[in-house]
Amino acid sequence: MPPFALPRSPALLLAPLLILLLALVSASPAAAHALRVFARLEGDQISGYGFFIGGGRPRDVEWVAQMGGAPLARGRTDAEGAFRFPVPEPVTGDLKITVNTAEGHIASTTLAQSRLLPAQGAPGATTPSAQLPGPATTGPSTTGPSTTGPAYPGQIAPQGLRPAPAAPAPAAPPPTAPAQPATAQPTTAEIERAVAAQVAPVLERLEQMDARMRLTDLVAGLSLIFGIAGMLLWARSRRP
Amino acid sequence: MAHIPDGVLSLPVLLGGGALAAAGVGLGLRALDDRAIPRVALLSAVFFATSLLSIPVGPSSVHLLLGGLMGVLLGVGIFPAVLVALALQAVLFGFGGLTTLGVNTVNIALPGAVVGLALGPLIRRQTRPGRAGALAGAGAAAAVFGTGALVAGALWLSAPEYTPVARVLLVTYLPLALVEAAVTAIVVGFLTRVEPAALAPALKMRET
Repeated sequence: MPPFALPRSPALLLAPLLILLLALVSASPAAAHALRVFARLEGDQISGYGFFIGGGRPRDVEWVAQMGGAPLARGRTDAEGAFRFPVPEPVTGDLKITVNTAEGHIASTTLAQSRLLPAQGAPGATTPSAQLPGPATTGPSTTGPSTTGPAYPGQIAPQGLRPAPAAPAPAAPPPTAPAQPATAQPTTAEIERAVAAQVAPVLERLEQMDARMRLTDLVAGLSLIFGIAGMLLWARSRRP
Repeated sequence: MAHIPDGVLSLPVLLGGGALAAAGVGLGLRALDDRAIPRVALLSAVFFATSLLSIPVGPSSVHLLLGGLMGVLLGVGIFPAVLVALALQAVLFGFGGLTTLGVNTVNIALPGAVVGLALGPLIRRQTRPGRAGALAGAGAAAAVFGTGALVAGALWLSAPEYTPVARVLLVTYLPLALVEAAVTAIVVGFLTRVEPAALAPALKMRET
């Protein structure tokens, strides 16, 4: 038995919708709709921002930071959807930052406790160390982060967004930065902060790539939908 | 907005949404015939793709829902269409979530189905494309606000601290409703002009 009783109608229904579909797909295959939060450690500050996959930032909405379930800080995002607050003094657990747009979009991200520990100042100890910053997460830092004046070039951009460090010298390895004062070896804390500053754009990019929609996924989804329809039709056509 | 993620809603809301969605999908599947299957699949594909295209509005970001259009064209067939598309969005793109699949399906499909059942017969009786389009557009706007209300209700029932603020909802849903109305009016007007029979979800409609 013929699968279509009405040969004209489906085709005509198809035409405008397919045009709409093609226009949308070709317009922006990478646009999407979901709220994500990006956060990173930046010196003694935690900064980050919420973003909608495919564009847009949650401006002037509430954010809440919690450590181990206990409220830690809260505020409203700026015009770029960004937030910023100091690292809490005793790091007692994972840090969770939640952005709520108050109209149904809620997203959160978690910074593991191990990532926060290096930023915590261990007062008193000032042991300059020249070791490479490989085991960055294990060693307790030596100086309080707020006391050190000299920063690596572009280490802390005034605004956390689109950080400058990648711009001037993307290829230069940070640990051997020549701008360091020649008198002292860089301390572990300084190295850690420099590495964190250099790695931040990479983390940011990773987060965005992770959340990115891919055209292949879109095509896969559409193909699945039509495949399901085809199987249903086939199953029905087998019925007498 | 319509994609509520995992981990926000409470269990009773999830179960209730799941039960409602199952009932709707059951109704929709019973209505499927050889003519309806490609229609459901086509609109499901359109919904799947359009939900991925979002535009920043105010503090948020919105995308077309097409609930009104699907409701008019599919009737209760909107439930399986939305369910399949949402499931694929959750799996492929991480929008919404698998546990919230039922609630999200109801939030989008139920207002559309209601609009389709309430306004559909009236729209199909119109002979002037403009009038049919205007009616469908009004229905589409109503479906958008219905979805907004259901999303707000689901959040309010589960986590009062996440309840959307009415003012923010209005700011983001009003432009969406207008755009949605325009798109729906254009499509329905076009179909009324060239192929009115395509507007009927099923051929053997009681009302036509």
